[in-house]
Amino acid sequence: MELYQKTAAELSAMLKNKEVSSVELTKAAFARTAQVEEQTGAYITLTEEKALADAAAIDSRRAAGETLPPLAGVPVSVKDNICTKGIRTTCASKMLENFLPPYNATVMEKLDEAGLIMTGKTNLDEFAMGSSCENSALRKTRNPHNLDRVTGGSSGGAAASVAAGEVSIAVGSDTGGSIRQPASFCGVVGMKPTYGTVSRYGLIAFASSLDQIGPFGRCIEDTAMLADVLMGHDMRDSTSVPREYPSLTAGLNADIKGMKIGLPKEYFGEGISEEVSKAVLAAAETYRQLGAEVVEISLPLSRYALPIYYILSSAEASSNLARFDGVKYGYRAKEFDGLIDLYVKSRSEGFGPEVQRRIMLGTYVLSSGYYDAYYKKARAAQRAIRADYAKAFEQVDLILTPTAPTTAYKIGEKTSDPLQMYMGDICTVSVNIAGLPGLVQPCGFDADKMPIGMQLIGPRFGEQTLLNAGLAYEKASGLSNIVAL
Amino acid sequence: MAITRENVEYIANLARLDPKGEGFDQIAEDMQNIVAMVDQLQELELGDITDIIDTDRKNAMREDVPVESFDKETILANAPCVECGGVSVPRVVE
Repeated sequence: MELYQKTAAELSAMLKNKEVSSVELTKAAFARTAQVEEQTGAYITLTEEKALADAAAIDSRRAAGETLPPLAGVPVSVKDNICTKGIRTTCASKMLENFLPPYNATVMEKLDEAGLIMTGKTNLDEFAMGSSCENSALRKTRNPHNLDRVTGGSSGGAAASVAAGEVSIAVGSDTGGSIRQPASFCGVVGMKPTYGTVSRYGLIAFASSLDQIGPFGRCIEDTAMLADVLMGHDMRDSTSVPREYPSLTAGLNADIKGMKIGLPKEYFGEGISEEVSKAVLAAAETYRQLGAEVVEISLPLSRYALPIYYILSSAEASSNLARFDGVKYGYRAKEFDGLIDLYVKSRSEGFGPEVQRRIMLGTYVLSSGYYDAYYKKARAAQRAIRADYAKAFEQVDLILTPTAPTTAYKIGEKTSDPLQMYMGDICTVSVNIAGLPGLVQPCGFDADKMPIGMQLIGPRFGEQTLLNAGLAYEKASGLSNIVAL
Repeated sequence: MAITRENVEYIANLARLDPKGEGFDQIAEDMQNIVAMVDQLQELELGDITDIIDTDRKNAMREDVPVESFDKETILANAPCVECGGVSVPRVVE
């Protein structure tokens, strides 16, 4: 087995036993990247020189006898909407193509403290707005399982980097499914943690009340290990939750006898492909055999999740992206006539069409005369969705659903119809609306050999239960550590 | 609530986007379908549920202590146009 095929947990053990050095691992990661990157296009920026220097520093500390955190010396990729001091952070936008953040995001500090080696910054839909990674203004990313298919999005580069073995783990972000849907499309594991459990300080804001950073891996254990690094309270994010964050890795337990899992009937009907439904229902059957109780439940407001999500997220985006005006940082138009024209031209030339669509929708739903009918109503409906979930979690421990209506579709297939693209988010957005954790992992393949992902949804702070249920299924199904290409 | 072209241009102005910009006609057209989609929310009856959320949640307060921030050079390093140690913009006051 090659190094690139190993899990982060395996690499961690090898480093600890001095069977391999971090420099060797980092070189192997870049060798694999050189081999596949032209096909996958996972990265916007590679940081090889810094990575090798960081790896050498970790090796020296280990050689000096220092006890290091479990993932110290393991390479990781980072989504390019997370600020990295002095390293280009583009959000895959012409607007920030040359932006060099003057500070690190809190999660970057956490990765550094834990000794992880960043390999580079991965591609995304511009400002994380999209579901296929095709909205990147800078790079085309392809699904490692079939290079004619999309990776999903917006964290498409992160998912591809893990699926293709360029790294074993990656950091992404999820506003409406941006970790979970690409994880599903690329056959890897991805978790959107409970809102408030990972600091958003230094994550370039899309929709602040929904955005959440989270881990990717090729197995549950790796995902738990990276989550342990990322999660924790941060004074610099006022929405960060002050509480104890016990190790999820230490708490892993595949015994799920007696666990109650709900199947919401609304997620298995019209609009969901038969192959996807079948695979997720087969996973439910596996859970039954493992000793869980599987029951049908109802989340009646699911059909309104898309309008609620697109109103709230676009409203917040229109406000958050108002800061990009061509004045303080970012793209400035070359020709303009006065200050207002400078704003207008810089924004119209700097933002791609999807970002402009969302800003337009957000401005519309917040504008005078429409605010009550759209934004205010969506906020009220958000409460109703939360109540829907709270009621469900009185009956069950976890909820099992498909992640997306279909498997990865062909590149270009949905780009001309934004609404069709939005429909693909139907299974994931309500989790963000309710601030809950969601875990996605592979549960089979379709007739074209494209991965199918299932989604487990837990109550707030239910990450341990999610990961335990994920581990139980992973062990039973053997669907783990799938490397494509 | 159908959205007219005139309305789209009004919104573009509020958002400081150029309705005559490249590709904007398509965006204006897409707005029709997107607004129709979000309009589905109008049929939802919410009874006495309002938008006042999480009344039990408290503000995250901290002591008002000065902390180190960035120096001017660091911040200006990303500005597209710098003159005399400040960000330069076109003349605003005639």
